Amino acid sequence: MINLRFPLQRLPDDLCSKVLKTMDPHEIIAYSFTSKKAFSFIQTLGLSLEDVHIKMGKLPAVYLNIGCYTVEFNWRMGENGKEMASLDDIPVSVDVTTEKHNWSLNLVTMKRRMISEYRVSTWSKQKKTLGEWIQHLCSIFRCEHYESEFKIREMTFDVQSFRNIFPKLRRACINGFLEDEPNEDDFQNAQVILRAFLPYVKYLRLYRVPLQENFSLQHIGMANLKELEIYYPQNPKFDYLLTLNSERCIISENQFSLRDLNRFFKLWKKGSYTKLKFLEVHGENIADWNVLMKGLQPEKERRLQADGGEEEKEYTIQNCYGICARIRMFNNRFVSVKFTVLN
Amino acid sequence: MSSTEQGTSSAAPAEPTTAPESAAAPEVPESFYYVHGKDKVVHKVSAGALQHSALIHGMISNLGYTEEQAKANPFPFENIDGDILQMVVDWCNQHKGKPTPPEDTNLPKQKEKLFDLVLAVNYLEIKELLTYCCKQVAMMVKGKSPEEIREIWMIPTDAEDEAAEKEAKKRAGKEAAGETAAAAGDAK
Repeated sequence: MINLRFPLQRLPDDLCSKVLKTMDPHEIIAYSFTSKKAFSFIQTLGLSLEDVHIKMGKLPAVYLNIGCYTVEFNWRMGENGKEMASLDDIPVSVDVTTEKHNWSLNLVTMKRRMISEYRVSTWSKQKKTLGEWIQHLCSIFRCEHYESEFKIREMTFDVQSFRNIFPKLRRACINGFLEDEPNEDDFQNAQVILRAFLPYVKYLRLYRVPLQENFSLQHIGMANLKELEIYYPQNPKFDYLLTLNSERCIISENQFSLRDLNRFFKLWKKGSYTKLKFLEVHGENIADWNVLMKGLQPEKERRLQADGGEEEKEYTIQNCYGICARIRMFNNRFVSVKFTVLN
Repeated sequence: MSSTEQGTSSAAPAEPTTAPESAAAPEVPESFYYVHGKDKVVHKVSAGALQHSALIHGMISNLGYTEEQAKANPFPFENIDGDILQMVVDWCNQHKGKPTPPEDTNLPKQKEKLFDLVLAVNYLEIKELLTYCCKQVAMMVKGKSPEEIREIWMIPTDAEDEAAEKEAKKRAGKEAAGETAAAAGDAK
């Protein structure tokens, strides 16, 4: 039972903001849910946070990283782990976990150790849909780094809802780990997410994402990305890389062709892929330098001593603009080829 | 200001409850000033204690009162309840010439008076006490859910806010209409 009352909103705005600024982040968030007026007042304070991570799967979650605090929201969408249908669903309740990190110094060993304090509480659904929750949480604080992880079979999505609800994501990760063959909905979901966020996203990671001809890796590679990571793409074709426009690219696949990579490096020498700074391809193969370097006329060859005692090599090639790049090949469980632009 | 109502306070203002200055301190006679709130009860406070209040400190610097003038002209704070002013004066006396600790245990304990105290402290511009008071207000909702915060801080619902806004607009409209009518009447 609450005996004490304090009419906070009768205080002048400057005092009200002074009170709010002394509060912990999860309490500020809780206050923002008390009324529309409270929410807009919190927005005017211009509080900032480091990053926001949104996890869209069977159990959706949002993580807000605010200095030494992490506030995590986990929505219970129904009894007995009911599957999430869409962003329009109203959750049953919300678990709020606050983690506070503190550093302590051991005076004997003079080593610093991080101590975390956890606090878990359950909030009511606040009469908001999951989409409204996400929208609310993403608009309380000022933040430049929004990232999201999507599991394509565990939700239904539509482009417009995404555009209306989600902030502009800086980083997106799409997980398509499917036990069976992808169905039409899986293709559709993957495409919806990519269409919604590809124009803004800077870092994109795709895990076994099912794609179709009308929206393939070629379209994704053309996007203005800083980093593209592709793990086990379906039916990968070398031609998809011809339009690659990202600065860094990591491709992991079951099998890849050194001959295709050789073609790729030849195109780079002729002046293609001007934005590319780093490319890494790994998968099952036979490490054959003759195939990889055929016709590339390297400027430099250097022999390296690997940890296992096996001798390794690196080559330096130069393109038509005089820019050099280093090619390294590693042969461990898989074969990895790393291409790094040097200047 | 009626002396009978004030009892001993105005005739012989109570000595501040501060500890005596240390023997090592220079022997400069301390000057005292007098303040009163809504209840007209006069409180005698040393200049050192009053330094916490930027408002009073500014007034003292500007007026350049002698001890006699200060006694004859207590600073009137008609907008502050007597008991609230007493709390503030006590706090200033307790913290006279001392660095204020990060966690203050000498804060007034009566939470029901916290709202008036915050306003008074803000008006008197006592920065440290205001910070403690704001922390105290924030502590009321420590670890609470949105519903509990709504209850503790008496936050109106969206519907109540909308109704209040409509009412304010209506009132402002009426006032504007009244002013226009008055201006027209004056013109005639």
